[in-house]
Amino acid sequence: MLDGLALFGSSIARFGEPMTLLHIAVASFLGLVIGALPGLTATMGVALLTTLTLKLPPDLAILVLICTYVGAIYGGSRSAILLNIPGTPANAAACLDGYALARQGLAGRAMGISTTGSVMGTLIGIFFLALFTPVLGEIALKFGAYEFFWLAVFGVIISGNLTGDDPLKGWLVGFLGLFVASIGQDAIHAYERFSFGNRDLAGGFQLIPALVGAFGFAEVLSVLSEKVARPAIHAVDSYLPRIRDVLRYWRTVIRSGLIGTFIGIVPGVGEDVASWSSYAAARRASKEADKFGKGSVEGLMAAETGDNACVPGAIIPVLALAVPGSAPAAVLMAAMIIHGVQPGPLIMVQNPQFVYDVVAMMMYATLGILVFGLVMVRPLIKILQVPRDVIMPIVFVLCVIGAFAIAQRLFDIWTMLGFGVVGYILRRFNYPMAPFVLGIVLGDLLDKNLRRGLVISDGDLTPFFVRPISALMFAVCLITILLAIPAVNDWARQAWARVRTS
Amino acid sequence: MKRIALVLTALLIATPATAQWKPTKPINLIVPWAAGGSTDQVTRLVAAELEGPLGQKIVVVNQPGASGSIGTKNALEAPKDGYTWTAGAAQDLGTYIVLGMLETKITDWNLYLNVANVPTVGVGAATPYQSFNDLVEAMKKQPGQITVATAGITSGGHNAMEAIAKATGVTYRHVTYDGGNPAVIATVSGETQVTTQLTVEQTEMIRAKRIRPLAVVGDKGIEIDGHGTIPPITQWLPNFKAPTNYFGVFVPKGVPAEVTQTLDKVWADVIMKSDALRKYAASKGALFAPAMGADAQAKVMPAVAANAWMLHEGGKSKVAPNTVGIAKP
Amino acid sequence: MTEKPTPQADFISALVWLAFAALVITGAWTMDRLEAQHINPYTAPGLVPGLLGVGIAIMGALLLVRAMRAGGHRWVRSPIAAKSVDRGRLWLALVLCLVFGAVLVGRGLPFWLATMVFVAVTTFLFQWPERRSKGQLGRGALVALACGAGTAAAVTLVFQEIFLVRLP
Repeated sequence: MLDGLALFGSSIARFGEPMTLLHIAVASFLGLVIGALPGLTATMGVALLTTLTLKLPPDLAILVLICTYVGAIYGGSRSAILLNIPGTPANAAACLDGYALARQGLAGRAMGISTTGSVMGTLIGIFFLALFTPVLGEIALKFGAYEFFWLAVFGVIISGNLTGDDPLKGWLVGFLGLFVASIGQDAIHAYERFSFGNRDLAGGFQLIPALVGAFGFAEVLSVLSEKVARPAIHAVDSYLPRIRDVLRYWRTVIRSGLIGTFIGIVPGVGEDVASWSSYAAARRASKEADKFGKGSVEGLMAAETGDNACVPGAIIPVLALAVPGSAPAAVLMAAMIIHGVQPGPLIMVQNPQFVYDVVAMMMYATLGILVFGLVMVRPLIKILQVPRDVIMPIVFVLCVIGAFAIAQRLFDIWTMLGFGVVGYILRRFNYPMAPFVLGIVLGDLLDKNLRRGLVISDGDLTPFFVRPISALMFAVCLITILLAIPAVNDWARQAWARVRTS
Repeated sequence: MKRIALVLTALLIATPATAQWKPTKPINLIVPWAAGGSTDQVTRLVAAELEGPLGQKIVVVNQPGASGSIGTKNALEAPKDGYTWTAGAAQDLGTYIVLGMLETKITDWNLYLNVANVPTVGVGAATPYQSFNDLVEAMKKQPGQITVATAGITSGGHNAMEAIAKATGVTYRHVTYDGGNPAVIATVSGETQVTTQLTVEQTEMIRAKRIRPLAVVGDKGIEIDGHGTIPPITQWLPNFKAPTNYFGVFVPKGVPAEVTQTLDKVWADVIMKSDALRKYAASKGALFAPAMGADAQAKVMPAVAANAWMLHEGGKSKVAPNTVGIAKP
Repeated sequence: MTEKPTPQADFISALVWLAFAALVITGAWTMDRLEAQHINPYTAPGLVPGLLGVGIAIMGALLLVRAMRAGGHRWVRSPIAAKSVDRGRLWLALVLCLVFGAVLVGRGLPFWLATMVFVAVTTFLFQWPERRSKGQLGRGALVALACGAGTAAAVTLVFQEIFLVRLP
């Protein structure tokens, strides 16, 4: 323990030099911009900078990448709050309440909440990264096909209650999302489903164009089509984060931090799932669940704490096992390998300093987002003062580039347009968008792991129920479904009250 | 030293012996697989080596999907101006046509190979199999029961296992994952018992004693420092033939001649002498194997043919390989 | 979007869901089960889409029943009451966006030019009624053009020059 502290101290000191601090500042800023621009994701940003920093010394290069990663996941909330376009898929949940708050004239406060949430989330994640990496890394290996299947099922179950007051409609669009995810080449037999011989469809719809369409383009259409323009917001409400918000929702912050870290550790699911699950859990536990989706401080806090806690979480299995916990973490790991640092089970023995270096890098990255997060609120809030007839065409241009930039395919632009129109129609019929997006995220997970599990067990269903973690997850799913039935819920409440009073 | 070498090569290239291609905008290098995988890693390394001599940025763009056919299609359909390249395994590029995925043959491309990867038969540390023979015996005793993890039907890992099954007459249960690394992780965690993915993807787990390598699917052993030498499969199956799986950067034919001339020269002067690439290959259990031109075409053909015919015999092809110029090996 | 949907709207959407579910189930049922490849029947590619189709059908039926109980099957003139939506503006936005996204982009026209034209035209047209009533049409055109040029320049600089994205 003391050794660890000494190593950590030397890491902190080593990165405290002026030149290194400059790198941290530039990288955090770049990350923020990458995150805030739709279509430039954390994965793409880290990959782009891997190439650009190849000639830097290894620890400086990895420092730059970590700052970019943290900055991008944080920065995506800016466009979510201001424009209702998630800057990265991780910030889709932040759109729901962040944008609602901005429309109520509380954009400054919303950005403050996302800053405090992100910082708190990262710190919670770092705590586990610093102290429990070897132990927690093993969790990554406990998750097999059966557990992933239940994880996906759980996501589908909560999708109905994610937003809005009509769970049936939530599940309908959730299932639509799951179906959309199944289009294209399947992951088990490479069979092309519903592609009708079209090569682009064979690759399936990508998440980001669908996301930008369903949130961004649909929003452009509905804002432009309103008879009366929404009043422009001239007042800057507050741009300093309020400590009160954190104190008031400390349970939400800690819960979301834990969920985010855990989702980060589990390989194959990343920041987006972390933020959705934190959001759903917060709504379930909240006393003000009806406010969610209409500008809930708690909801935004949960979403932003969850996705940022996922970042250190995703690095835990990288260091412990060379198993990336999320897509950007996979690129980060590749960069480490290219730079001659081999993460994995031997790292604690061969290169313990590196683990503490990473912890120190994460600390500096947190500092970076805190500083820029506070400085950039004032200039950004001006975006809301531009009249809609001017800003919306520009937002649409960003939607087009956002869909295109990640893979540079025209098909992705068409995907964005199609999902935008369908999303707009669904909104007019009062269907929520969030479950749809969650369905697309989870569809692949559900499909592959159900069938993979059945291959491994040769069609036997028992492993889905008897393995320890999957049994637990099945129980959680079952209880969630039962509690959604009003009669059962009432009975449980009464029983609980009786237990308490006796 | 390396910098001096770079400057020297830059000077050499600058001599106006042939028409010299000087790219005026960044070059897009499409990796048709996810960022962070084995193709992505080696391609980024090569891209960084090429940037200096070409005097231009090379932007690696990841376009995963449909077994790499989407990104490859986009590289194929891009303007033939030399500014769009792709990368990957030559045996994939050569068999898209057989699978009915893309109308392109391996001979439609200029191949610039960098490394060759060999699969290894690895088993989880908790499994009882101590040698390749143990595993084959167990597979014979429990036909179709032992689980083998690979990165999918068209992957090098599945090819290797199919070839082993054919040579030994065993059957197995095939479990597919999203990529080589997830397949290896599944074997480490005990979800599957065996993996036949590339050695590159297993080295770290081998060093950490989480995976026990039983045999290299090839005729030469591989030495991994911290572990020792993995014996070749020919020790048990003397007649086993495993074509080498080459990876590289591919530029479609039809680009201006000065592009390929310049690339030929840079490949010969820089990549073939690259210390960074050599070191990377050695540390990951890959073979440093740069090649280009007709030499590269000749080297990749055996693997393309073996892959194409295996898919055809497994009922997965849409076009018979011999009709598109891939002779039966 | 705050208006409550009428039962008629739910009735229509329920019918659409049922039709969609029928298509999905048919597609999944007739999908190749890859018997020729001797795969494990549990891993047939149509399994999960089929299950999803059944799920959508069940929920669509529930929605249909709910809507009919509320009288949704009776015909009304405009099922989605949308007092706040200006249809003219909606169609204009839709057409302009689709023309830009699906027609102008990626047909050889430089992206900066397409962007400039799109932003300028869209801004100008949407501001038309207001500008005309104030007699500022000329000024409106200038402002719109400036917005277009500014967007085109900023987008090209940030995405193409800094982040090296090759624009369509």
